[in-house]
Amino acid sequence: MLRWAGSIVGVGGVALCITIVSQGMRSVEKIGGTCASGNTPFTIAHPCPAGVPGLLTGGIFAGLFFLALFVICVGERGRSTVLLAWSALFLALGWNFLDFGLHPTTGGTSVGFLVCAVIFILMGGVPLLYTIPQCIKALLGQDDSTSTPTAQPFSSTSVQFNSPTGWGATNTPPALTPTVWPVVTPAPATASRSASTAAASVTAAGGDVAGALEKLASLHARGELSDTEYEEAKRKTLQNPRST
Amino acid sequence: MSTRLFLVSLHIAAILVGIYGGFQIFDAVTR
Repeated sequence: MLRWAGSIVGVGGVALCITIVSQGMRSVEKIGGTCASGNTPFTIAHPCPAGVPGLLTGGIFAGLFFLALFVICVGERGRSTVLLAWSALFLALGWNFLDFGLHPTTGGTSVGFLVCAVIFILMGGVPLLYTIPQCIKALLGQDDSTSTPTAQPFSSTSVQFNSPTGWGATNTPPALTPTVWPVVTPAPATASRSASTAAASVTAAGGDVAGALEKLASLHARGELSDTEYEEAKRKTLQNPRST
Repeated sequence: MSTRLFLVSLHIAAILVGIYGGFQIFDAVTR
């Protein structure tokens, strides 16, 4: 309940801050697009409208605070909606650029504002192509977290023991030293792999009997080799240490 | 589903209230 309250307050606060920033930007664009404030040794040509510098600064930081509150409270499923804040901000500011680019206070059109309008609208609009389907999925309860897991680094799962060429030295990538093998997570097919293959592979990868025995012991300790398989592999390693 | 729609509605209402509040705060400060 508290999390929902936090996410509602967060999303409302983000909307409030984006509105304040957008309105502050419009007030600056009304006086030509630039302004300055504060104690300076120079004469300020375009003083900022009263309160706008504080509102813009405060709006940005308060918006980040409310966005963080929303991210913390919304949970995993609704997290894809966070990108909407990005689109909302840039589309709002892009609209301001477009509005004042077509109707500047000085008359005519302002090419600089129009260029900014195109950039901002693209920056805000393109992510919507990704965000909107994600939001629809979140609304319908189709959670991405139950789908295909993300790819793992090479040293963890991409080495498959049941690959056509097996686990031999000829299939060993250069980056994988023998000390990496104990941390490799085996594929399910490993269980059916014979102990003799394990012994041959470990010996071939390591090149010395002691190292091979250590690796077999490590595999056995992690439960990837049964007692029988471990004993058989150890025996074969000791009998034929240079087998491939 | 109805619970989810209710919560989504609350969020949309919060966005609308936030936008309205943003206008009000801006007008109050810059007046």
